Amino acid sequence: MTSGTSDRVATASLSQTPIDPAAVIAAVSKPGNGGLAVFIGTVRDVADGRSVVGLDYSAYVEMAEREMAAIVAEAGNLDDGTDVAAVHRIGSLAIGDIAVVIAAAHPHRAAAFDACRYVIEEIKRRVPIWKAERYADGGDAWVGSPVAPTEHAS
Amino acid sequence: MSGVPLELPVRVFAAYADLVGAPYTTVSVDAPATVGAVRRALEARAVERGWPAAIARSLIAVNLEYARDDRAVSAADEIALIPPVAGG
Repeated sequence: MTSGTSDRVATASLSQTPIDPAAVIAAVSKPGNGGLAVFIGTVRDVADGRSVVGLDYSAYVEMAEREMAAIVAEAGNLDDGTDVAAVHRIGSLAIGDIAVVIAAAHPHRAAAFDACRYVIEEIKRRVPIWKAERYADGGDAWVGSPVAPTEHAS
Repeated sequence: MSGVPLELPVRVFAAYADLVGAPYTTVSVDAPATVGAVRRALEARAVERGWPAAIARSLIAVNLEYARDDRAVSAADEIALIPPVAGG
Protein backbone atom coordinates (compact mmCIF):
# COMPACT_ATOMS: atom_id res chain seq x y z
CA MET A 1 0.00 0.00 0.00
CA THR A 2 1.36 3.44 -0.86
CA SER A 3 1.29 6.45 1.43
CA GLY A 4 -0.53 8.68 -1.04
CA THR A 5 -3.32 10.92 0.23
CA SER A 6 -5.99 8.90 -1.54
CA ASP A 7 -5.64 5.98 0.86
CA ARG A 8 -4.60 7.92 3.94
CA VAL A 9 -6.28 6.78 7.14
CA ALA A 10 -8.30 9.45 8.96
CA THR A 11 -10.79 7.85 11.32
CA ALA A 12 -12.49 9.18 14.44
CA SER A 13 -15.25 7.77 16.58
CA LEU A 14 -16.93 7.68 19.96
CA SER A 15 -17.29 4.37 21.77
CA GLN A 16 -19.81 3.26 24.38
CA THR A 17 -17.68 0.19 25.08
CA PRO A 18 -14.04 -0.25 26.20
CA ILE A 19 -11.50 0.84 23.58
CA ASP A 20 -8.98 -1.72 22.29
CA PRO A 21 -5.71 0.19 21.70
CA ALA A 22 -4.45 -2.60 19.43
CA ALA A 23 -7.31 -2.01 17.03
CA VAL A 24 -6.58 1.73 16.87
CA ILE A 25 -2.87 1.02 16.26
CA ALA A 26 -3.72 -1.54 13.59
CA ALA A 27 -5.80 1.06 11.76
CA VAL A 28 -2.72 3.21 11.02
CA SER A 29 -0.15 0.43 10.62
CA LYS A 30 1.26 0.23 7.10
CA PRO A 31 4.50 -1.16 5.73
CA GLY A 32 5.70 2.34 4.84
CA ASN A 33 4.98 3.86 8.25
CA GLY A 34 8.26 3.62 10.14
CA GLY A 35 7.05 5.79 13.02
CA LEU A 36 3.89 5.20 14.99
CA ALA A 37 2.97 7.37 17.99
CA VAL A 38 0.19 6.45 20.41
CA PHE A 39 -1.46 8.49 23.12
CA ILE A 40 -3.68 6.75 25.67
CA GLY A 41 -5.60 8.85 28.16
CA THR A 42 -6.81 7.05 31.28
CA VAL A 43 -9.00 7.94 34.25
CA ARG A 44 -6.91 9.36 37.11
CA ASP A 45 -7.73 8.72 40.75
CA VAL A 46 -7.35 12.30 41.93
CA ALA A 47 -8.53 15.71 40.69
CA ASP A 48 -7.56 18.97 42.37
CA GLY A 49 -6.54 17.03 45.45
CA ARG A 50 -9.89 15.25 45.68
CA SER A 51 -10.03 11.46 45.50
CA VAL A 52 -11.90 10.31 42.41
CA VAL A 53 -13.56 6.88 42.14
CA GLY A 54 -14.86 7.13 38.57
CA LEU A 55 -16.41 9.38 36.01
CA ASP A 56 -19.10 9.65 33.40
CA TYR A 57 -18.41 11.05 29.94
CA SER A 58 -21.33 12.47 28.01
CA ALA A 59 -21.21 14.03 24.56
CA TYR A 60 -23.12 15.98 21.98
CA VAL A 61 -22.58 12.89 19.88
CA GLU A 62 -23.29 14.20 16.38
CA MET A 63 -21.13 17.28 16.85
CA ALA A 64 -18.36 15.46 18.73
CA GLU A 65 -18.02 12.94 15.91
CA ARG A 66 -17.92 15.71 13.36
CA GLU A 67 -15.37 17.76 15.33
CA MET A 68 -13.14 14.73 15.95
CA ALA A 69 -13.23 13.87 12.25
CA ALA A 70 -12.17 17.43 11.41
CA ILE A 71 -9.31 17.29 13.96
CA VAL A 72 -8.04 13.98 12.63
CA ALA A 73 -8.12 15.34 9.08
CA GLU A 74 -6.23 18.46 10.18
CA ALA A 75 -3.63 16.35 11.97
CA GLY A 76 -3.12 14.25 8.87
CA ASN A 77 -2.38 17.42 6.91
CA LEU A 78 0.31 18.73 9.28
CA ASP A 79 2.79 16.57 7.42
CA ASP A 80 1.77 15.07 4.13
CA GLY A 81 0.56 11.51 4.35
CA THR A 82 0.17 11.04 8.10
CA ASP A 83 -2.32 8.31 9.02
CA VAL A 84 -4.40 9.12 12.08
CA ALA A 85 -7.04 7.24 14.09
CA ALA A 86 -8.75 8.40 17.29
CA VAL A 87 -11.42 6.88 19.54
CA HIS A 88 -12.95 8.57 22.58
CA ARG A 89 -14.93 6.67 25.17
CA ILE A 90 -18.28 7.86 26.49
CA GLY A 91 -20.33 6.44 29.34
CA SER A 92 -19.34 5.32 32.81
CA LEU A 93 -15.61 4.70 33.48
CA ALA A 94 -13.61 3.47 36.49
CA ILE A 95 -10.11 4.47 37.60
CA GLY A 96 -7.54 3.30 35.07
CA ASP A 97 -10.07 2.81 32.28
CA ILE A 98 -9.04 4.13 28.89
CA ALA A 99 -10.76 7.40 27.99
CA VAL A 100 -9.11 8.10 24.65
CA VAL A 101 -6.72 6.40 22.23
CA ILE A 102 -4.97 8.23 19.42
CA ALA A 103 -2.60 6.59 16.95
CA ALA A 104 -0.66 8.49 14.29
CA ALA A 105 1.74 6.94 11.81
CA HIS A 106 4.08 8.30 9.16
CA PRO A 107 7.25 7.18 7.43
CA HIS A 108 9.15 9.29 10.01
CA ARG A 109 8.68 9.71 13.75
CA ALA A 110 8.49 13.51 14.01
CA ALA A 111 5.31 13.70 11.94
CA ALA A 112 3.76 10.86 13.96
CA PHE A 113 4.47 12.60 17.28
CA ASP A 114 3.24 15.95 15.97
CA ALA A 115 -0.05 14.55 14.68
CA CYS A 116 -0.70 12.58 17.87
CA ARG A 117 -0.07 15.62 20.06
CA TYR A 118 -2.23 17.82 17.84
CA VAL A 119 -5.21 15.48 18.10
CA ILE A 120 -5.24 15.22 21.90
CA GLU A 121 -4.76 18.96 22.41
CA GLU A 122 -7.55 19.80 19.97
CA ILE A 123 -9.90 17.18 21.44
CA LYS A 124 -9.42 18.78 24.85
CA ARG A 125 -9.97 22.23 23.41
CA ARG A 126 -13.02 21.84 21.19
CA VAL A 127 -14.79 18.46 21.10
CA PRO A 128 -18.14 18.68 22.93
CA ILE A 129 -17.56 15.96 25.50
CA TRP A 130 -18.10 16.53 29.22
CA LYS A 131 -17.16 14.55 32.29
CA ALA A 132 -18.79 14.28 35.68
CA GLU A 133 -16.36 13.07 38.35
CA ARG A 134 -17.55 10.85 41.18
CA TYR A 135 -15.63 11.45 44.40
CA ALA A 136 -14.65 9.11 47.21
CA ASP A 137 -16.41 11.41 49.68
CA GLY A 138 -19.70 10.82 47.86
CA GLY A 139 -20.13 13.99 45.81
CA ASP A 140 -19.94 14.47 42.08
CA ALA A 141 -19.38 17.44 39.79
CA TRP A 142 -19.20 18.39 36.14
CA VAL A 143 -15.57 19.15 35.35
CA GLY A 144 -14.85 22.58 33.94
CA SER A 145 -18.47 23.54 34.10
CA PRO A 146 -19.21 27.11 35.11
CA VAL A 147 -21.85 25.77 37.44
CA ALA A 148 -19.51 23.39 39.26
CA PRO A 149 -18.82 24.32 42.89
CA THR A 150 -15.14 25.01 42.24
CA GLU A 151 -15.70 27.26 39.24
CA HIS A 152 -17.19 30.72 39.10
CA ALA A 153 -17.92 32.59 35.90
CA SER A 154 -17.26 36.33 35.96
CA MET B 1 -35.96 44.15 13.52
CA SER B 2 -39.58 43.31 12.89
CA GLY B 3 -40.08 42.26 16.49
CA VAL B 4 -41.93 39.07 15.65
CA PRO B 5 -41.45 36.67 18.55
CA LEU B 6 -39.74 33.41 17.68
CA GLU B 7 -39.60 30.31 19.88
CA LEU B 8 -36.31 28.50 19.37
CA PRO B 9 -35.40 25.14 20.90
CA VAL B 10 -31.85 24.94 22.27
CA ARG B 11 -30.14 21.64 23.06
CA VAL B 12 -28.36 21.63 26.42
CA PHE B 13 -25.82 19.22 27.88
CA ALA B 14 -23.98 18.18 31.02
CA ALA B 15 -24.47 20.65 33.89
CA TYR B 16 -27.07 22.57 31.91
CA ALA B 17 -29.14 19.52 31.16
CA ASP B 18 -29.14 18.86 34.91
CA LEU B 19 -30.18 22.43 35.69
CA VAL B 20 -32.88 22.51 33.02
CA GLY B 21 -34.01 18.98 33.87
CA ALA B 22 -34.22 18.10 30.17
CA PRO B 23 -31.93 17.79 27.13
CA TYR B 24 -33.34 20.97 25.60
CA THR B 25 -34.91 24.27 26.54
CA THR B 26 -36.74 26.94 24.56
CA VAL B 27 -35.94 30.62 24.27
CA SER B 28 -38.13 33.41 22.97
CA VAL B 29 -36.35 35.96 20.77
CA ASP B 30 -37.36 38.58 18.22
CA ALA B 31 -37.10 37.67 14.52
CA PRO B 32 -34.82 37.94 12.70
CA ALA B 33 -32.80 36.14 15.36
CA THR B 34 -29.07 35.77 15.89
CA VAL B 35 -26.85 33.58 18.04
CA GLY B 36 -26.19 36.67 20.18
CA ALA B 37 -29.93 37.07 20.84
CA VAL B 38 -30.18 33.42 21.85
CA ARG B 39 -27.20 33.89 24.17
CA ARG B 40 -28.78 36.94 25.81
CA ALA B 41 -32.06 35.07 26.28
CA LEU B 42 -30.20 32.18 27.92
CA GLU B 43 -28.28 34.61 30.15
CA ALA B 44 -31.53 36.25 31.22
CA ARG B 45 -32.96 32.82 32.00
CA ALA B 46 -29.92 31.91 34.08
CA VAL B 47 -30.19 35.12 36.10
CA GLU B 48 -33.93 34.63 36.58
CA ARG B 49 -33.43 31.06 37.82
CA GLY B 50 -30.61 32.04 40.17
CA TRP B 51 -28.02 30.01 38.27
CA PRO B 52 -24.53 31.45 38.24
CA ALA B 53 -23.76 33.82 35.35
CA ALA B 54 -22.58 30.78 33.51
CA ILE B 55 -23.58 31.26 29.93
CA ALA B 56 -20.77 33.77 29.35
CA ARG B 57 -18.21 30.97 29.31
CA SER B 58 -20.25 28.73 27.04
CA LEU B 59 -20.23 28.62 23.27
CA ILE B 60 -23.20 28.18 20.98
CA ALA B 61 -23.23 25.75 18.10
CA VAL B 62 -25.54 25.97 15.09
CA ASN B 63 -26.02 22.87 12.97
CA LEU B 64 -23.09 21.11 14.69
CA GLU B 65 -20.59 23.97 14.24
CA TYR B 66 -19.44 26.62 16.70
CA ALA B 67 -21.12 29.89 15.74
CA ARG B 68 -20.38 33.56 16.31
CA ASP B 69 -22.87 35.93 17.87
CA ASP B 70 -23.70 37.58 14.54
CA ARG B 71 -24.80 34.29 12.94
CA ALA B 72 -28.48 34.39 11.92
CA VAL B 73 -30.64 31.55 13.24
CA SER B 74 -34.17 30.34 12.60
CA ALA B 75 -36.39 27.55 13.85
CA ALA B 76 -34.94 25.38 11.10
CA ASP B 77 -31.50 25.40 12.74
CA GLU B 78 -30.27 23.04 15.44
CA ILE B 79 -29.00 25.34 18.18
CA ALA B 80 -26.97 24.00 21.11
CA LEU B 81 -25.38 25.49 24.21
CA ILE B 82 -21.84 24.14 24.65
CA PRO B 83 -20.42 24.66 28.15
CA PRO B 84 -16.63 24.33 28.63
CA VAL B 85 -15.67 20.91 27.28
CA ALA B 86 -13.77 18.29 29.27
CA GLY B 87 -12.91 15.45 26.92
CA GLY B 88 -9.58 13.73 26.63
